[in-house]
Amino acid sequence: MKNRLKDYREAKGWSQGELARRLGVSRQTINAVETDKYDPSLPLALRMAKLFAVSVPDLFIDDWEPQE
Amino acid sequence: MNDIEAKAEQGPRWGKLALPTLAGAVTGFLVAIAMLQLFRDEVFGELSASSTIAIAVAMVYIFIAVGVGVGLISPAFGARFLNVEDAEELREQRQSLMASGIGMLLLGAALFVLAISGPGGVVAPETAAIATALLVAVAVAATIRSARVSDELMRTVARETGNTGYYLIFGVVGGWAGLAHLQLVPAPAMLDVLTTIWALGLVAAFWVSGRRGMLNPR
Repeated sequence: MKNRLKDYREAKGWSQGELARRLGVSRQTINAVETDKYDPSLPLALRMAKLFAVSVPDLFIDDWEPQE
Repeated sequence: MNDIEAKAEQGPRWGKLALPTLAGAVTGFLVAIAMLQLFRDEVFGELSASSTIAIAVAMVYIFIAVGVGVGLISPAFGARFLNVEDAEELREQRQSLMASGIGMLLLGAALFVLAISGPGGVVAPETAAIATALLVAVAVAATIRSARVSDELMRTVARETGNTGYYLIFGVVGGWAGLAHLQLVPAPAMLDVLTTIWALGLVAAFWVSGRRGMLNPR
């Protein structure tokens, strides 16, 4: 899933390692999410959103729209 | 075009790494075969083709484990050949890497023991059975330990490796057995079945890691 994690992380001036440390995951996880290779679990997505003070849909981009 | 769209248009990058990874695996396998040709008569006596291939696959497991071990002992040196950003990343993942490295080492050793046992082997069957059972049991414990100290990405990769490995084994071993049952191909030796399972486990791990971008240069 496309996301803006890298944009938000860089806006804070954090390295991948710093973000990983704050979220309690490995740098590989941050790298995999930023390169769209891994969709995080809901708890981790919520933690990410909370850390950047944004909503999950602000962080993760989903083109799906509900049908009428 | 924004960054995300540009990134999406680049497509999967891991194809760029497929050749180097494959070349590394093939080179390791061929080096193991060459070493066996040099030393087998003095150390192992006459080895069958099945045993030779099993030892080569076991050596790939052991080489990978030794590489991880060297990286943990000297993170600065390990960061040069392991796919991490820097030495600090190796220190951060020390517990997980150590447990999975021990698991790889013991699984390689188990296949090695089986390869030099059996008919015409240098280890008695009873001794080999006990040694293999112990090695696999500790390897399983190490793998469980690794999963417990890993984060969600590594646990996902481990789960997907299990799934992928199952289907690979189902297709390759099942297909081979089916064709052998129909007497269309020679039946595999039991050691060939084990070697295939061990080898497909590695293939599954590399395949899943590649799909998750973990083989991309950092």
